[in-house]
Formats: sequence, C-alpha cells, structure tokens
Amino acid sequence: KQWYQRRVRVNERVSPYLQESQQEVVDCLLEQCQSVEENFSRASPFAVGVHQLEIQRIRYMATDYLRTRLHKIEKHAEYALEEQKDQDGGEDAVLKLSPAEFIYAREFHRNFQNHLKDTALKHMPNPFNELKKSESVTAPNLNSFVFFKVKEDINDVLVDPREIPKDLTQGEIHISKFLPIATLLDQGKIHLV
Amino acid sequence: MGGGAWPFLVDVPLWLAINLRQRQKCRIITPEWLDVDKLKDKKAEEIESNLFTKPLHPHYMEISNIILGNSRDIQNADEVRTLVKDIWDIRAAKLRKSVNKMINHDAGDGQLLAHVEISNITVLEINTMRKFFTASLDHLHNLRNHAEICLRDLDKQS
Repeated sequence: KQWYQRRVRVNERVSPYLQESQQEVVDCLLEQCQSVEENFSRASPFAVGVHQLEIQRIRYMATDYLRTRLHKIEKHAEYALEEQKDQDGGEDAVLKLSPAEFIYAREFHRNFQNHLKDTALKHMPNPFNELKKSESVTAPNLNSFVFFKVKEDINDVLVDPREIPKDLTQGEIHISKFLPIATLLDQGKIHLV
Repeated sequence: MGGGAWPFLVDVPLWLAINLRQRQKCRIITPEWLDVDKLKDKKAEEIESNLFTKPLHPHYMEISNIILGNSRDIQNADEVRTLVKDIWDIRAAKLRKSVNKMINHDAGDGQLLAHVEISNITVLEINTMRKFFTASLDHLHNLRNHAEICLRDLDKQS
C-alpha cells in the first residue's frame, strides 16, 4: 500500500494538472492508521514507537498528496469546475474532483470572484464592470514537459506530432510534453518521475 | 542491516534502521555496493562511457549520505564519501552537457526537440534540474510556436 501511495503522490506532484482523485486510497490509508493506533495499548512500548513512526510517514504522504491537489485546484479553480460540469452529462465519467474538493473549488471560486469584484471591478466604468468568463479562466499548461518512466512495452506512441511514432520499451526514462502522454498515464502504462 | 544485542539479521526500511541506530539499538551493515573497490570500478566505468551508466542503486546518493552520516564504524568512510561524490560529479557534468546539447539541437527545419530518452538517471539528479529544465523548455517552445504563427500570418498577408 505504501508504494502505491508513493506512486500516486509523485504522479500528482509532477503532472501539470489534476489527476483522477484517488480519494479512496487516502481514506483507506487513514482508516488503517486509526486501527493501528487503537491497538497501541496492547502492544509493547517498543513496537508502539516503531508503529508511530510509520504512521507519521504515511500521514505525511497522504496530507502532502492532498496539499498538492488543493494547490492545483486553487490555481485552476474555474477550469476544473467547467470540466466537471461538462462531464456530469456523460456516463460513468472519470471524476477529477472528489465531492469535498468540488465543494471547496466552488466556494473558493465564488469567494475569489466576489473579492475581485468588490475590490476593483465595482469602481470601474460600465463596459469593464463584469468578469468575462472566457478571459478569466486560468487553464493549466497541459503542454509542459514531464519526465516519464515506462512500465510496459508500448508500440507506436505518437510522442511528437511531427515525428514518426516510436516504440517505448520497459524501464526507460523519457522527457516529453505532457499532452501526448496523458492517455498512457491514465491507462497506467507509464508513470511520472 | 544487522541486529546488535541478539545478533540477528533483519531487512528493515532505511528510516527504521536510522532510528534504531540513533537509539544505539542496532548496527547497520552497509549495502554491498557501498564498498571502495566497487565504487572505484563504477567510477572508471562512468568516466569512459558516453551515456549514463546504470547507477549503483536508484537512490545511491541519498542512501550513502544517510548511512555515512549516521554510523561511526564503517571502514574508509572518507574514501567512500569522496568516491561517491566523484561519481555524482561526473554524472552531473554529463547531465549538463546533454541538457546543453538538447537545447541547442537543430532538427533541420528549425524545430525544437520535443522528446528525449535518458535512461539510467536517478530521481535526485532529475530533481536538481527539473524546475529549470521544464520551465526553459516550455519557454522555448512557446517562443517557437509564436514565431511560427507570426511567420504564417506574414505569409498569408503577402
């Protein structure tokens, strides 16, 4: 479970945009932490110390993961909300925001806009009075460069639209733009480094 | 990692070993690659090869620093430390050279390199240049794309 969490956390850290919300993993880990803590009274003091260390480490990883997600939500609040809305119409969509994060994003966005309106826009003449949606959305740069490590052999990956498709063999590390690789990442065939 | 009072050998994660060591409850047995001769061989191999060689361990730098910093009874600690640092320096120099080559690469029609393969590099080395590298590549591609768009517009107008 620890290695999986580490992988999830590194993926989230390095990618320019929110990955799928792995909220279940986080919840499961925290539950296990709690159950271990409840067993403390029965175990010897030495074991308690060791378990305590391990729990602190796991807790740090989970909170760090949540922190990076929150940071990304705050940076691209409007974009995330739009994407969620577009997907809700479809079937079985992959949700990037967990329910709590969705509420947080909405409130943050609302507060931010109110803040901008109250401090600046209210005092401006009429044509400039509103926050136009198309201009205020801070879309994440999905074309930024990332380092990848290949987990399985894949054939014919179109890494660069101007070049021919390449083969990726297992265990190599590549540098590339994020967008062409995003689907492979979702399928779990590569992971970010 | 080896036990102290009742000598038994146990495989434990690094953080646990360090913690026990600091409480004087165990003795750490160094991993087999943290050995003077092995390091000398690795260094020679690293010098003569053009690309990156397979590192001693994906996290050799962190592990060697932690272990060398925490245990007093390793033979030739200083020598091991200098050797590891030498290997690190050689790899960093190779990294710098290849970054330079990549940024100055010209694929014939003025296009920038958008994909590079670089195996056998450790995470710490990636992180030393991650921020600078990705930011500069982003900027370069932005500028190049803008230049292309402007040229296309000029062609359309004329």
